[in-house]
Amino acid sequence: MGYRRIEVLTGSAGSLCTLLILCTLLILLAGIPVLAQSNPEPANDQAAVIDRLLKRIDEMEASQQKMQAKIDQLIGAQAAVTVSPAPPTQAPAPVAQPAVAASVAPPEPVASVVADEPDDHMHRLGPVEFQGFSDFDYGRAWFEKQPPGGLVGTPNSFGIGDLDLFTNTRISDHWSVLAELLITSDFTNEFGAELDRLLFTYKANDYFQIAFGKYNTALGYYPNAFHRARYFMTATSRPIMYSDEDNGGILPVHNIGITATGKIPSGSLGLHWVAEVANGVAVDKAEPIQNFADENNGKAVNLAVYARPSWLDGFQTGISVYRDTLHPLNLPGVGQTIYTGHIVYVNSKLEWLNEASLLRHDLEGHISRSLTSYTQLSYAFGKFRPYFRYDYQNIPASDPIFGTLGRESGPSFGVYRHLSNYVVFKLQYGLLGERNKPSANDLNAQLAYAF
Amino acid sequence: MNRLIPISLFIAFAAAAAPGLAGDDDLVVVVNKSNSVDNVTKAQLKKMILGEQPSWSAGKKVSVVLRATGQPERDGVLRSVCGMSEDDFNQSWMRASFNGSTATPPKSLPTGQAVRQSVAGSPGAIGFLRAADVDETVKAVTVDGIAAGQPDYKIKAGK
Repeated sequence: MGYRRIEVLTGSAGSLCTLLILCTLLILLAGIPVLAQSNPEPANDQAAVIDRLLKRIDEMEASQQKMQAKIDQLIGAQAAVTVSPAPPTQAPAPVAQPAVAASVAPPEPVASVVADEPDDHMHRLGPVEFQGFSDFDYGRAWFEKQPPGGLVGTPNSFGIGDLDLFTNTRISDHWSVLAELLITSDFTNEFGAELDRLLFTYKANDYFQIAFGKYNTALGYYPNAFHRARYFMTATSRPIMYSDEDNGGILPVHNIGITATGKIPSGSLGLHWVAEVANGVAVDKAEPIQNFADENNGKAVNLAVYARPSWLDGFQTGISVYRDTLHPLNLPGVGQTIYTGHIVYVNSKLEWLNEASLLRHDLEGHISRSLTSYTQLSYAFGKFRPYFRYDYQNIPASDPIFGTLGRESGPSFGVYRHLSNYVVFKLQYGLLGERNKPSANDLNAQLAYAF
Repeated sequence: MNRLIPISLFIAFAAAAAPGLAGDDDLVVVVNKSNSVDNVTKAQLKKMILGEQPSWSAGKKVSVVLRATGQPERDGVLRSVCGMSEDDFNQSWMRASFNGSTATPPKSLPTGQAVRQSVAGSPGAIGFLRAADVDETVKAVTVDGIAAGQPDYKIKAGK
């Protein structure tokens, strides 16, 4: 819109200059005979007048060129202020704009308008911009949102997914705030607000960044690549491995505490480190993510390292070790150690995700080991992306925390298609086999969207 | 014999014109004149465009300047540097933000002249210009050691 206005301005300014030149010429030319009649002069004087006129025309042309240059500068300045954020609705870091930039600049200092990042003291608060994500589904609940024992035999139903409100706002050159708020419901039909992430982050440089608040534990790849927006996910839901703690999940995918990360100087290997200290989870509470009151003074610790080699764009592999002590009701403390590894390769066509976690629970020397994992493969053919996933989770009955969950495994496959830039349609069939329970198979349709 | 002369002339003219035509679509990578960098790799360019390399080795913040959406220069940069369409590019930035990145997305300007002025006025800026839009106010750099106009140069405007 602004650009169009400038185009009009360009046109009218050019026309104005031409008109001015013509008017001046007419006036001057009209004056020549008068001068000649009243004060007859020799021929060489007339030549001098013509020279002066030509000089005047040259001056006016130069003036017009200067005006054109200023208009071009204005176009650049206007575009820098209004068109600037390339992806129209992404607002990745709605940085508070300095007042200088907001009040459209005078023509000359284009550089100041489009110049570097604003200095720290130039940041202003608000307005905070939110992005929204949600989805609409038809089918039977696959494995999420179900009560213990599942919902076998329930009819196909319509459902709305979480309403995910997200902001990532930089408040200074080094500090930023990320918040992800969910309005969510489950089989009880009740809706509630749930804070999925709230992080106050300080980024010193590429090698050190620290954040305080609630975060997705850096165990592996999926939770920190897709978080809660199904719009970004290829399949209709997370892998079983990364189910929420209050929804049958066995991994501590959320935590409240401190998380730090950064690059490791490693050349083309692209190594990164992660270190986290948090309250950990409470296994026998309705809300397992511990805030304010931790069950013990010992904190959950997670250490991870991963590589993104520059010579294989899209490839990432890493490992993590998580350690905590759990306190189930009527039992002594259970030492929990979780080893997680992932190997993924993602480019604009191919997506291949592989992750596995080994949980080790130590109850007074009695050790139980559980495995949870998945593999997911998809490939884009134009706007269609067929996908396949296989989930596998096996928990021995002797496990003091999750022993009743048993084994869950099965394939799911479907197709994902972009209907528009911010709307995705998915159709998925899944078969879930569970130890000592009848298998569940479900066909689900999902419209996931961003706004 | 008379027929061969115009054919020979045509072939000679076409051969002389061919390298020029090949370079017409080339997009010159330009940086601010104060930037000491003379060469960038294609991998670095991709990281800069996607916000994964926020600063130059000297510490100055990277500020990428592209042409506006839908213009062949922008499409060409996204395709030849990032291997992405405009939609892929938008998705990538949305996802980066969702994952906590606070990098600033590339600026989008409507003309080559505006891109040049932006790069000339910002010490950490990097932009992509057609050869005709390059002047002494900005500094052209090579990509993987190859200058625009040379046969193996890969960064080209879209059609």
